[in-house]
Amino acid sequence: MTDAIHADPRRGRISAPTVPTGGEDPLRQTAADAADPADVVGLLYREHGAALVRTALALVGDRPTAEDVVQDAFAGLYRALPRLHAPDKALAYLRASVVNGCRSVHRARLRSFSRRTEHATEVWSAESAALAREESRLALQAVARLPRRAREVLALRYLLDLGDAEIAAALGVSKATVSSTASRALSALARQLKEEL
Amino acid sequence: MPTELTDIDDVLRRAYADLAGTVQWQDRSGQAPSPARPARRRRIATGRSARRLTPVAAGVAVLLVALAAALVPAAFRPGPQPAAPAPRNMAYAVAGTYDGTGRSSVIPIRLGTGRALAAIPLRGTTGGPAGAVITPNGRTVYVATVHGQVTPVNTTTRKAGRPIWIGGGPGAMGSAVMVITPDGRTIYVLEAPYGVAVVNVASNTAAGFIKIRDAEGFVITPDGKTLYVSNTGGSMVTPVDTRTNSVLRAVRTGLTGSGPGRITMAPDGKTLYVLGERGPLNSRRSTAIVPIRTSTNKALPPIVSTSYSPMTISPDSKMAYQAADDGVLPVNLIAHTVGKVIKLSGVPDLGYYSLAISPDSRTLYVLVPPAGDKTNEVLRINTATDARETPVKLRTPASWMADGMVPGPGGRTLYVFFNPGGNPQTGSILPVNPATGRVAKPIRVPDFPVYAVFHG
Repeated sequence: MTDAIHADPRRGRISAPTVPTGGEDPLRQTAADAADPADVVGLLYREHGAALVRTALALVGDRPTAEDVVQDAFAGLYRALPRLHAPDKALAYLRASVVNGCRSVHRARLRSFSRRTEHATEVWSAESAALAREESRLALQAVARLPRRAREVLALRYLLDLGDAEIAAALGVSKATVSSTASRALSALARQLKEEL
Repeated sequence: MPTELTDIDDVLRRAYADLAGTVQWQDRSGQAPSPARPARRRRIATGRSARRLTPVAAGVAVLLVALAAALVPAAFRPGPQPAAPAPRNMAYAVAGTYDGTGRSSVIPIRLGTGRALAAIPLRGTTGGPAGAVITPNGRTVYVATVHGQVTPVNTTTRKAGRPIWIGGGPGAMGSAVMVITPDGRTIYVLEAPYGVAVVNVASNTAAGFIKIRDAEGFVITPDGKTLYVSNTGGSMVTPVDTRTNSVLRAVRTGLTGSGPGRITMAPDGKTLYVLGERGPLNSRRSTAIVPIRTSTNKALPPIVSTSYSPMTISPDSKMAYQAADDGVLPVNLIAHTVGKVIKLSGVPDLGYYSLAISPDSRTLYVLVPPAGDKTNEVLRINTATDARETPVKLRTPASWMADGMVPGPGGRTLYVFFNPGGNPQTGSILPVNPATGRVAKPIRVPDFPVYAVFHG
């Protein structure tokens, strides 16, 4: 029989035998140790919810949609948890589903364009007064004109502070693709913003 | 002027910081938002004290029912009536939501045409669906919700009956929460961690509760005579005689972990396997699989494994496969040895793969999530050589992440579940014939598809 601390059988429902990850990320440990799938999801949400919403915001442009995307990602994670053999992959799963969710939003918007549906104003549009600096607004507008992958790479790099390897994992591309996309995006932005700033 | 790349880097840093500044995060009491926050299992207010009364209450109920049955003329009695034969070649998908609404519905699907019929909503249930079983005659589908209601759905009239309350919820989802005996008379619903609820199919009533401490998972023998319930950590497996619903002498496995005690029955019914951890507490423990012979209820020496993922056993009961960090781990159930991990290079490791095995046990199917612009794939692995054959590309939109798969009748078709999200929520089920590589059109279902049962 188990000792008292482990009395809850749901404890570790998702946890594979946790190999110490070297302690570089305390959350990974906590997430793996948390008692209940709901707790794991809650914990990840508290720690990463805000950053993911910001990332989604950078990709879709408006906050309500961004929150929906992140919410869907967490709902998906909850359902995937019993099948997740490595709990420390939960965050990678979340990032990938947020990126995927944002792509879906864009696809749905393309479809609804023909029906003239109105969607929320993007934070970087001239009508929105959300951004403090004009420079930021122009920069983000220029980013919005970049190809999809470039926007994704930049958002993950600047908002989630991810390295090229992690960005590559989240986007499902190679590390080399990430660095070349990023450098091409930066030069394109430099070209565009030269005239505007 | 931001002409240099370092300047543009600074501009972007400031721009993204401004953007981030527009999202002020109030930590809503530290909880994830409601749909993400799964319906926590709610215990009925009376809790365990009520459970102690259950045998008495059940006895009284049985007496009352018997008395009523004796008084009601036979013609008015509910029971087995000469009903029309149940529709064949059908799938019944169970879908629902897990937010405050907690809807559940059953979607009948004609397998021949791949057409979904109108969804049958369940009434008076909460918490969303957890699992389902179908009676062997195909007439009734029973759906359990995470809050512990079991609803019968008549497949001929396509109407849902009244929910049967069994107390708490199953504490798990998918294939592991409900079993039905092969004679179709009794349904067992796992109620982790308290035990197993019994539902009588003929009367559609809760017919008792088998108390098993720290119950975690269960399997039934193919002949339906014995139910095996594993506990947390898998240290004990309790056999239950399904004729009398009495608990037999528990089998000690020697496992000492505190994680889930995962239990899997070999298709031939001769052996069941409990997956857990062994070794002294408070030290590095190894994962182990303990085989238990169903003829003797004796545990055999453990097979040391390296993966804690659930086992998928081949139809010939000779091999098992477990998802591992960088591939799939083969376990030889005859020699009781673990093979080399079949590496799945070039496949994104998002932490989960669903496994299935062809009816002839020759091919292992691995459902892998999409990588970037690639699509979900079903990998085909020759089980004799462990070599990868051409994968089946599912050609779904890149944002669709497959959630899992359920083999259809005979195991020839795999039904892959997708939850693309969006508002309103719609899910899809994609029938895939992994032998021919044919992928049919996706079947749309409302809400999140969770599980499916079949009547071939």
